[in-house]
Formats: sequence, C-alpha cells, structure tokens
Amino acid sequence: MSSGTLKYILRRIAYMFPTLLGIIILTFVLFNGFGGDPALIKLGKHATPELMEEFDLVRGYDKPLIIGNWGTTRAYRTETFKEGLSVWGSMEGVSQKDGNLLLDKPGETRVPTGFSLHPAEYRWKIDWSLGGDKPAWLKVYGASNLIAELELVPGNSRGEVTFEIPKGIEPVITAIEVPDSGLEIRKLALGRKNRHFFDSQFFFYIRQLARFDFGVSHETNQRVSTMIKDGILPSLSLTVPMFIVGLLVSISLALICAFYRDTLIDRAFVLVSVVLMSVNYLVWIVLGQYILGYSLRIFPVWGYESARYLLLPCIIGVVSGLGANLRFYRTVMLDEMYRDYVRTAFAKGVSKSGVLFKHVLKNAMIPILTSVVMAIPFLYTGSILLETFFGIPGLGRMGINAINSSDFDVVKALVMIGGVIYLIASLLTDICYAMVDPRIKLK
Amino acid sequence: MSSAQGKLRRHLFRALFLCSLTFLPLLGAGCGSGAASADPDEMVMYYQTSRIRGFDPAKAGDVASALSIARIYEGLLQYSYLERPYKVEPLLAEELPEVSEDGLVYTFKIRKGIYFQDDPCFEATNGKGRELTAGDFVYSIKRIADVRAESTGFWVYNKRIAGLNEFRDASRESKTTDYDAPVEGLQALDKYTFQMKLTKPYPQLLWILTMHYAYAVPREAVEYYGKDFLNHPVGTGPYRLASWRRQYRVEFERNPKWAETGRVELYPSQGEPGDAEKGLLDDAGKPVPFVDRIIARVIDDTSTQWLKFVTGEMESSGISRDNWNAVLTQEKELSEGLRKMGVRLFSSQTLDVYYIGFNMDDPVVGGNPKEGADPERVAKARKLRQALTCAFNSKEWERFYNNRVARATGPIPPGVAGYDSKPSPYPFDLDKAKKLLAEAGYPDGIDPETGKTLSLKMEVGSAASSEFRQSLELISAFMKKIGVRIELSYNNWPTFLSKMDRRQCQLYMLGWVADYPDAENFLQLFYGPNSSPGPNHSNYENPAFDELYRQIQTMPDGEERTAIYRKMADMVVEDAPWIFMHNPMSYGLYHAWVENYKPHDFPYSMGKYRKINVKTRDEWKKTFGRKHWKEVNE
Repeated sequence: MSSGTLKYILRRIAYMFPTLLGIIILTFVLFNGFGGDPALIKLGKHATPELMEEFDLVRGYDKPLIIGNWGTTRAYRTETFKEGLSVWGSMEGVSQKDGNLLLDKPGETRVPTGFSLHPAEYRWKIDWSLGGDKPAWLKVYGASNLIAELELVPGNSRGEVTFEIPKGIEPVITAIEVPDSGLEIRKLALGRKNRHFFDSQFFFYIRQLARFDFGVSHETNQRVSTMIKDGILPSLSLTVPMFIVGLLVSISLALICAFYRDTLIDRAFVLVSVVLMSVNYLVWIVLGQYILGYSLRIFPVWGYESARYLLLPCIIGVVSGLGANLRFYRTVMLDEMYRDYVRTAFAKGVSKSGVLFKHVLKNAMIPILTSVVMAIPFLYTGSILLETFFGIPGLGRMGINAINSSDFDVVKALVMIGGVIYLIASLLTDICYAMVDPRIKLK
Repeated sequence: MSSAQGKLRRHLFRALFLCSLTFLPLLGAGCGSGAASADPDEMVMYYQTSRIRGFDPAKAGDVASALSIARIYEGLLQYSYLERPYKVEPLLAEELPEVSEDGLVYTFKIRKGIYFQDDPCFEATNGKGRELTAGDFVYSIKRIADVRAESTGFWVYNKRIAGLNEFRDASRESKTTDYDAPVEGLQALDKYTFQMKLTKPYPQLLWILTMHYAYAVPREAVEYYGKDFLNHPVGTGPYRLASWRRQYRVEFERNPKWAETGRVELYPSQGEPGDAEKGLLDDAGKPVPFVDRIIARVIDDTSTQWLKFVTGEMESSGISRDNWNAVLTQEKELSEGLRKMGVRLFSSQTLDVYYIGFNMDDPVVGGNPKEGADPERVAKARKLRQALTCAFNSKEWERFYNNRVARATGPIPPGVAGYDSKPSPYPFDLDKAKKLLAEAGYPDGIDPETGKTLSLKMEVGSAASSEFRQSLELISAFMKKIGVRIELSYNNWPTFLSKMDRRQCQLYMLGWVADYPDAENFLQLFYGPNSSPGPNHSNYENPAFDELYRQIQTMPDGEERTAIYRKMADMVVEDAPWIFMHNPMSYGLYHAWVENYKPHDFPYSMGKYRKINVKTRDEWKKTFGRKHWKEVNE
C-alpha cells in the first residue's frame, strides 16, 4: 500500500469523527428532546409526580438537556399556559386569558405543586403583568415559615427568586398573593439547582458512549449492550447467507442474461424479475409459512433452533430480493457490453464467455462493489419482517419492538451503531474502488 | 488480467466463502442447547408468551413477566385457585396473619423448612440454598422502596408502612442504600415471625401481598449478581430457570430443592360448585407441581401462533379477530373441526374496564361539582356527558367486537364486590340522548352561540391496528347520530401519555386493568387528589365522592363498605366523567391434554396446578398432527 493511500485512509478516518459527532447530536436531540417522557412510559398507570421525580433522578432525566445551571423537578413542570392550564385546571379563581394564566381571586393562591419539594436549592422564575398599583407576592413557605419571597411590581415584568430547602421542613408550599386588581402570569417555571454547568443529559450520554455503555432499556430492563450482543448473531446468521446467496445467484443470472442478451432467455428472466419485484414481501412470507411450512411440512414454520430453521426465511429473502437485484446487475453488465473494449475483444476473436468473465465482470466490479458494500450496514439491522414472522431473535425484531414501545435507549444505540458501520462501509468502498480499478487513485 | 486483480478477486470470494462457513456452525451451537430433555416420561408444557422483562420481582410490571417470575419466586400469600369470589390463602406464611384490633399491625408466621434453590450466590453455604427467614421479607420490601433499585412497585407501599418512606428518602439522598437501616414497620421478630406496621389501615394489603412486589428475594443473590440480577432468579418456587434466550424462548424446570428438602404443596380440595363435575377436583390433595418442564416461546404474529397451536406445538391459544369466524360458530361455540380435535373453549369476563374519558377541566365537556362552581354550567356540562353516554350504541359496539366484550355499566366490573347488576340509568337511547343534548344547550348538536355543530376532540394513543381505527370511526358514527362531531387525534403512546399528564385532552380513550379484585382499585381513578399527573386522568373532583373515598380507604371488607362502593359508583355514573364502554371477555382455547385449567384473573403462582396428559398428546399428534385443521370435519 502506498503512503498516499495510507494518508488518504487516515484522513478519511479523521473526517469520520465530525460526522460521528453529528450522528450523536442528532440522535440525542431527536430522542431526548422530542422522544416523550420515559418516566411516564415506564411507570405507566401508577405514575405520580413523586415516583416520576425519583425515576428521573436515577436515570438523570432531571438534568438540563445540553448545559445549564438549573435542572427540572416534577413538583412543578408547567411553564407556559398556551396549551391549557395543566395542573392549574381545576383550581378556583383561575382562568386562561390570551394564553396566559389569570389569577383574579384576591388573597393567597397556592401553586399546585405535585409534592412538597425535596431538600435542595430551587429557583422560581416568573413573567407577569399586573394592573393597579399594589404589588403581588410570590412566597415560599417551609413548615409555615416564610423562606423566600419575590415582589411582583405593577406593570409587565419578570423576575426570579432562588431559595434553599433544608432537610426536615415540611410541607413546602409556594403561594402567590394576588392583589384586588388580579394577576396575569405568562410564564412560571421551577428549576432545581444542577451540580455544575456541564452536568447535563448530553454530557451524561457522551460519557456513557465513551465507555461503550448504551444505557438500560426501560422496556426490557436489560443493558442495551447485552441486547445488541444477543441479537447480532441471529440477525447476521439470517442476513449474511441471504446476502451472499442472493448476490451469487443474481450476478450469475445477470451474466446469463448478458450472455444471451435479447434472446428469449434474457426476455424471460426480465419478465420473471419484474413479476418478482411486483409481489409483496409479506406475500412470500405468508405463502411460504403456510404452504411450505404448515401444509407440506417441508420446513419448520417458526423458530430459531438450528440451521434448518433458517432455510425458509433465507429462501424467501433471496427470492423476494432477486427481481430487483437481477435487473440491476443485468443493466450493469449490459452497460459494459457496449463499450469499445468489448468490441475490440470480440474483434480480436476472444470467445463470448472469455469476454464476459475476463473483461465485463471485472469492469462491472465498481457498481457491484458499491451496492455490495453499501448493503453491509443493512445486514446488521437484520430483516424486520422475516425476523418477526419466523421468530428469529435478531436486531430487526428488537428494533421494531423498541420503536413500538418508545424504548429510546435501544433505538438510539441501533441508530448510532448503524451510522458507524455505514461510515466504515463507505470508507471500505473507496478503498475497494482503488484496488479493483487502477484508474482510481486515493489521494 | 493483471495478477494483482486476480488475487483480489480470489480474496474476495474466499472472504465471502469464509463468512458463510463461519456462520453455519455458530448457528448449530447457538441453537442446539434449548432442546428438551430426552426423558420420554417427562411432562412438558409449551405455551406462547409475550416478551419477558427480566426476572426481578421489583421491576416487572406486565403480565408475561409476572407469570414467569411467579414460577420461580413466591410470596407470603397467594390467590385461591378454584374458589370464587377470589380469596387469599397462605403460601409461604403458615396461616393468614394475625391482625391487631386497630388494623395496623400484621403478624405473619413463616413456614419452616422452606429453602431457596441452590445457587452460587450462597457463598456461605457453598452454593447450597439456605432456609427462608422473616428477614427476607424485610429485605425484599425495603428493596421495592429503594430509589436506586428502580422498582415500578413502590405505589403499593407508598405512605402505608411505618418508616418506609423515610427509608426511601434516605436511599434518594445517598448513592448506596443502607439496607441495615431499620424500618419501624418491617420487622423480623424472630427467624420465623415477620411483622408489618402500617401508618393507617390498609384493607387491600392482603391482595398486595400476593403480588410480585412482595415476593421473597434473597439478599445474597441481589448483591452477588448486581445489575445482572434480573437474569439470575433465585427463588423458593416450584420451578427454576433452565434457559432463557431473550425475545425468543424461556424454559423452566422443576426446582429440585423441593424434593431434596421434602417440601410438599397440595392441589386444593375446595372449589366452586361445578368444579368437581368439570374434573377440576380430580387431583385434590395430590402434590404439585405436576408439570416437570415448561417451555414458552415469544411469537409476535398471530397467524404463526395459530399454526403452532393447531399443530399441537402449543397447549393453548387466544383467538385473533381475523380468525374469529373460522374458529367459532355464530352461537359462539367451537367450530366442528376443532371440537373433533378435542379443543376446549374457555371464556370468562375480565376485570378490565375500557372507557372514553372526559377532561373535567375542559370548558365544554367538563365542570366539577365543586363548591364555588357555577351550578348551571356544571349541570349543563353533565347533561352533555350523559347525552354522549346515551348515544354510545353498546349493541353495535358488542357486535363490532364479535361479542368479545360486554357493555360496562359503571366503574366497578362484574365479579368485584360493589358491582351492581341493575341497568345503567344512561343506556343506549337516541331519544334520551337528543333530549339531554338539547337540555345541555346544544339542540340537535348545534351550539347556539356559534351556530355550528358541536365538535369534540378525542385523543387516542397508537393507531397501530386497523381494528382499533375502525372502532374509533364507529364511535364517531355513534355521536354523529345525535349531531355531535368527534374529531380524532392520533398520537403515539408517549405523546398521548404526556397530553393526559398535562390535561390537554378533551376526550381520551383508555382502559384500566385491575391490580386486585377490590373496587377501591377502580374508584381511586375518580379521587380528586389523584388528578393528572396522577391516575385520575379525567381530573374528576367531587367533594362528596372524595369524602367517601377517604372513608373506604381504611375500611375493612364488609356489607357496609360494599354499600358505600355502590353509592360511589352511582355518583360516578350520574356525573359521567367517563363513557363506560366495555368489560372485555377473555377467550382461550386449550388442547384436550391440558388438565386442571380454570380461567383466573390473577393467574400468578397458579401454573403449578396445571397438568399435561402426555399420552393424550402423543395420540393426538398421531391422529391430527399432520392434518389440516380446517379439514378435520371432512
């Protein structure tokens, strides 16, 4: 290998890191930012704010998303009132006005917290509008003693108050003293002091990844790394034979087609491949299972006990993929067939098979390699349908279950690993190009 | 061709060839281990299961995991297998507990000579399982309260056991939990006496103690296996884990410790009237478990499940909607062919309630009957909810589900004390619905203020199955009959949950699966302080109801409590925070060789009573095993 090639490979590997970081940030933002509430999903029908608070604490979901000094607490989660009044809903003297919360009952109104705050440092942040000339007050009491207060002056304004809850003062109550003129609140948020600025969900995730730890699945309670280890072999044991057999069969048939181009044989294969392409995958599975598995009892219907159990799913996988592959490789071969060098070879008197195997196949290697190497990342995700219907405990089935049950740690890990494999595969493709085609130089 | 390229091609092919060679032997090695033992007399049972989420009793929250855990672990008490209404009976306790007069102190005598299975975690005894003691229950319940153990079950003990919440707070504050810290309400008075002290009477405690959140877990195992404990169950139960391929197959085998230590459990000799005729008492007094080995497979697809059943590879099956008409006749009896195959059908009503909930905070459909609320508005909104209840065409609904569901008339399902069989005051009745709707201020469904049709938005979680989507359209059609438009809003499950959590639903569709057969478990869904983010997603708040709820919370079982349950149920029906849709029926098909099967709503720990007639199964397989199930009657 020349030093230029080596340099090229090293450079490509260096380029992989920013891409990888991009994948990490994207999966993180997608799932942690928009993925729903893991505590609610996990605790299900018995979820209460206090139980969710503890779940968040153990799993780190109470920390800020990217960075920040303030995390969240389940004691009070509503921030704005555009989507409704949330926990304020069934309280008296409370209504919604232009997407804001309107308190119009004079006197103290208790902020509906889910539970009495646990000992820690907290911060109330509030945006308000107040008519009249008397101020309103936000007050925090612990065991009936005033701990902190914030004056809400008339007009439009915002402010915050931080306070510490020591151990053993219960209950902690926050109340808003409303003057006669009523008080409008645009935003009210409660934060809990974070350990330090970088103690966030994102850095927690990065630290986890650095240890090759993908977290714990909340659906199966297993470590995600264990689940992937469990699933990778069954997936590959199905997809790799399927891939290799499919590749060999479709390339051989493509060669035959190219060899007998424009004859009845070629036409017949094209017709068959169009028919194969038009039949839905699911049809093959159901027919295969019912006829070959159940009625004729040639293959086991379901299971993953020995290689015999993989025959039927493999055959179905090969057959259903054959149509598209055959057409693709046939086109690739025929593209080459019209090149000058082929004419020259024929003119020199090289036999038809000699031209096909020695020249055409070799020159068709580039598109073939591309499609082969780019298929590799998909080998790892397994075949979702085949795995589900035939009970193969692979990654495809695991992934689809994780998506259905919003098990984001698992999905995140699968996406992440898939991305890495894809990066490696694309590097390999480039290297292979240079090796099969002397015209390509890696620089 | 240059030699370098020729080499490459050879390399490529060799690599591919090697790849395929490498995987084939791996296949054989990976899969061969699961085969059942060769002993022909062994009684093996096969069934289909959902995914098992580990064998940690503190963590499982679903039926499949709980069933599996209950084969290996045991608690102080269990449900009676045959007797109805449900009763609790002692399992690891010698007898039912002694309860102090104020209902706060429960004292259990624990059976002597109960041993944990052998396991390397018992280092002090060289891997020999040690005897169960009262301390195991103290430890196991503390573990549920430990924040770091991430149990899903703390709700069963929350604020109920003296000193346990303080223990939980301490576990939250420190990184490692000190299990030696005493908890006043959980004490081992001596080796065989376990005492629980409650903060207030908890009449449901005995039901709770049958659940897996109260099973005895040895501390050695938790500490030895650490994070991997959920894959290494160590229990006292009739079975132990033989092998587990997650997502695929799990196998249990008879726990040899029972024979070794001479532990004997007997099949019950008390049953319901009629049980003896069904042969359910034939094995009365015989030692259990009968089945030596249990093999469960995770099959996701219903048509595959069915094929596995009709080839005799699974002992039981449910009936999917697609298969319904082929399996059952119009009269809901088994089809001829299946009956000839000896298949038996078991149907029973479940304790689940499915409903459409109204958000009582909503300005249109809501309005809690509280002090300070505008009584006219409250009354009108109530009439609107009642009108929608009357518009719900329960006959059509039952037909849609092939009569697999029965209309629910109130919050308490049949079979639970407090259920009232009297007809609902708001049955399906279009005239009544229209009248109520007019009284609510929407004559013919028109809102007089805007002149437009009243349109309500219903939130649903997951629209995965077509059956579910069709059912939603059916509901829209019901409401359209009285002129009300239902706008459907499809969410994925997490979004749906957080919408309910934030009270953003106007209408929502949900079900409740009973935790124990006590009406309190259903009535808590209407208790004001349980409003979202608690389980009262309708945010229903009725001071009179709340007052009664506080009363029954500590009230022992009896006529008086049942009367209050009825009264509370009536209040809920009248205020109509839910449209009660249905209680589903459960249908199960069992092959002839499954003996001693009786449907049970809480089937945990009941597997030991089942029996397989291996001879019948072998003969069946000879006769029917290769026949197509639809061709048997020909």
